[in-house]
Amino acid sequence: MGRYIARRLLQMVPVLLGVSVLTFALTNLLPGDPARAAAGRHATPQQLEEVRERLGLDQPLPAQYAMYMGRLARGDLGTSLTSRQSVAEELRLFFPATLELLLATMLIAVGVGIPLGVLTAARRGRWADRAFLGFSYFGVGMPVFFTALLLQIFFAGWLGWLPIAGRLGLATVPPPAFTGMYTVDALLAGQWTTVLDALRHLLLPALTLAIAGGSEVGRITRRSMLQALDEEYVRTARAKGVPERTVWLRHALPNAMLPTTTVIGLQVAFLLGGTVLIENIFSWGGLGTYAWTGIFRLDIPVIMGITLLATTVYLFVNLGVDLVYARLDPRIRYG
Amino acid sequence: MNAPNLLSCAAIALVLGCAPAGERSHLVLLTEGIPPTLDPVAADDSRVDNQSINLYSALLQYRPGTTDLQMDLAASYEVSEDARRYVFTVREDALFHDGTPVLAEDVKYTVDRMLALKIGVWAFFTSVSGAEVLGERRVAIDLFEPFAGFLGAMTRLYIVNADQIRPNEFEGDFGQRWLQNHEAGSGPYRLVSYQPGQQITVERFTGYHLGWGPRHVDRAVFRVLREEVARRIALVNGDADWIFVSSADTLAALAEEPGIRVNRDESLNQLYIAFNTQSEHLRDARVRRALALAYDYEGHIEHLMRGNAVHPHGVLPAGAECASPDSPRPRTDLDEARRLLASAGIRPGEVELTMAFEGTTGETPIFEIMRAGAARLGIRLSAVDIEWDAKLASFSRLETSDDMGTVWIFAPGPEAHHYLHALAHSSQAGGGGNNFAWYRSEAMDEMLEAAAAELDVQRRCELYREIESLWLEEMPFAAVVTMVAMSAQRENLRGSAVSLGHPLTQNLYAMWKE
Repeated sequence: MGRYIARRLLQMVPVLLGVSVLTFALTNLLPGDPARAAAGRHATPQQLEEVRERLGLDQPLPAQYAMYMGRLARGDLGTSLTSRQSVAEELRLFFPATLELLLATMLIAVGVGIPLGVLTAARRGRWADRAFLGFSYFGVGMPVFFTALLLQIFFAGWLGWLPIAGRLGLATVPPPAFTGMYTVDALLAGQWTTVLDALRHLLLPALTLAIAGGSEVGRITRRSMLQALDEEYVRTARAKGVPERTVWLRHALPNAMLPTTTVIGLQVAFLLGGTVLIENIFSWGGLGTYAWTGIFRLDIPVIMGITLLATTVYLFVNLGVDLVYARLDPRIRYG
Repeated sequence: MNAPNLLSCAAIALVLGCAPAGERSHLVLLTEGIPPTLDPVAADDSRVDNQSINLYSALLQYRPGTTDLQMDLAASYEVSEDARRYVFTVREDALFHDGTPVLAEDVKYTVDRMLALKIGVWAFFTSVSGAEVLGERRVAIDLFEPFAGFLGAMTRLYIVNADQIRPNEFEGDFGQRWLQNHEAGSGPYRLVSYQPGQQITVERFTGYHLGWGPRHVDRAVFRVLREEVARRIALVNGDADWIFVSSADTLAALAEEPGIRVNRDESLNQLYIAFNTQSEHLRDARVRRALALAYDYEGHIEHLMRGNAVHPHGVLPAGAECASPDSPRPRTDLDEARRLLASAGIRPGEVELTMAFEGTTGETPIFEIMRAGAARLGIRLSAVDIEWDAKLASFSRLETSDDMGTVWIFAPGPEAHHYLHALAHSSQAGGGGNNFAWYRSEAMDEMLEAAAAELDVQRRCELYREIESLWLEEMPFAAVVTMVAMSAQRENLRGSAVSLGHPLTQNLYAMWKE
């Protein structure tokens, strides 16, 4: 297993290299002038020229890429053209917010999606099953930004139960930074009011993303459970008089979890993309917001940094999914 | 406690925790744009200017809601006879937020910093050659040549605390990295907290040199909320005191809400349509004038903007310096347009043109109005829907420039120079400049340079009148409409006014709650 993990980690290097080449090339192909981001909207042609020269943007693309990779090899993700901050430092600042949102979303999506999938499989064809299927079509098909607006209008606008945006209330002081995730940091600091405030702010954006993610997870779990329940080993277990609850939870569910695990892995990639929209709608101030501003300003080091970070996260999630496979299915062996 | 009970308790706690906060003592202002930095050198960007005007002070400033200049950090100033040296005396009671006095050295450091970084507000100070400390509180700023817009531009030169920044300089960046999320100002408010991409909290600086009255705001929060629907809900629910509004529909809906006041403030933001003077069919000024006459200006203001836009005065916004109500207003006259086309030898159906615009920022209807007008002249117009950066890049080279394109001028002040020089001077053609028309005229360049250097307002305005005549004859750009700055607020908020000199900003010092 150790050798397998080491091999997979090594395989990540060419993938990241390929992603870096593609992102660098595509970003530079985009119409626009990165020097404008640094110089400002009112910059004159002469001013742009000077800024271009100062930032090395007048160099040929291969030379710019070589310089970037040289710095990257030393662990330096470069400096943002707009803020002049280290991209690595900015990623450290913005990533915890996104991670907090992702974890909360996955908690809801998996925590609700899997039990719902199992329950509706048990009640196949009944009203609960039909209701879930109907809802899941809505969840999967509805664009997340639209779901976000509906939830904002309903829970924040009409009912006034939840805050409309932000990570904390206007009067709440952020807790001491340990992880950068407000709920966790407030919990660690024992600031219960802040925990509650952070949770209330987290609920709507996490729910928005979880409706889409949980619907997909639930649908796949339901379908996989129905397939597993048709398998011979289930019939054998029932014939042996194994209690129905054990048949479901010990025999069918672990097998049904294989495709669900794949979907959960894919959801992480979907959510990483989805946060760009959601973070902007909810003023979340995470990686999505950072990506949005970076892309609109054509801040190449920022775009590169975000892409490499997102790719790394995705590769590790993929690795994790493969390792979970081995736990769920003893027939799978890595070596 | 079992799991379901625990969950129920948590749900109740979440809902109870969101009871209305009651009367807030602080102001909450919801904006759309995320400031890329807090560094005031980038205050040419209104998102940065919105923070800078509250955290920093300049030597001179516009009186809130007007374009009248008044002393801010400066106690007085003198101008040399050749108008190339301005000597400022800094007020003795002016303090930075760390309690140290504002000195001439800080002004010099601010000027040196801007000249070295060559970004942001430097675009307004290209005539400045340097600064010299003449005494503890006396400082001279030197110009290469006289520049009429200099004093107006000084309202964007926010003075930074040199002693506070120097220890935070990194590899000769003049503290640019540090100032991204810190401040070193002497403005009425000081920074309490900054959560990038989310919100900025400021509170009253008790040592502010202009003093405090009983009604001023103690604390304020600028929160970024990109979605207009969300901003509207927050205002109606009482979670916000002021919001930025970008759509006429939202403004109309908010006008119906009890307890809400909508604002339609005069602005200096003007839309132009560029006619590429180097393009095959638009080389002839008569064709450009014909197209300008085909645009439905009334329809744009009345139907598209629901009255939230106004006609320019000639080629300038009504609020700009030297704009005259006697200047001809843009008009639609299809008969005259057809006559001009005929005299240029253009027959209906012969000409096809392209027009670049930003569909994502709501410019599609502008293209449609232009297309409808052109169609009535027998000219086919094709759409090039493109982002601002891409449009700028495409107009950077003549061979990739479209025949026509939209250009917005968000001027930093009321001086005509900011519009006419930026659009029509030949140095602004290509390379990322705003002269999308590729208009090059020696006569125009000479007049623009003379006007920029003319310090006498009357003579300057006469020069701009001549420039306007040439412009209307040559028509490199059609001045389309001047926008109205839209916002909405709770009725008990007072003093909120968009300053013409600082578009899209809110000056907290002028505001109070009743």
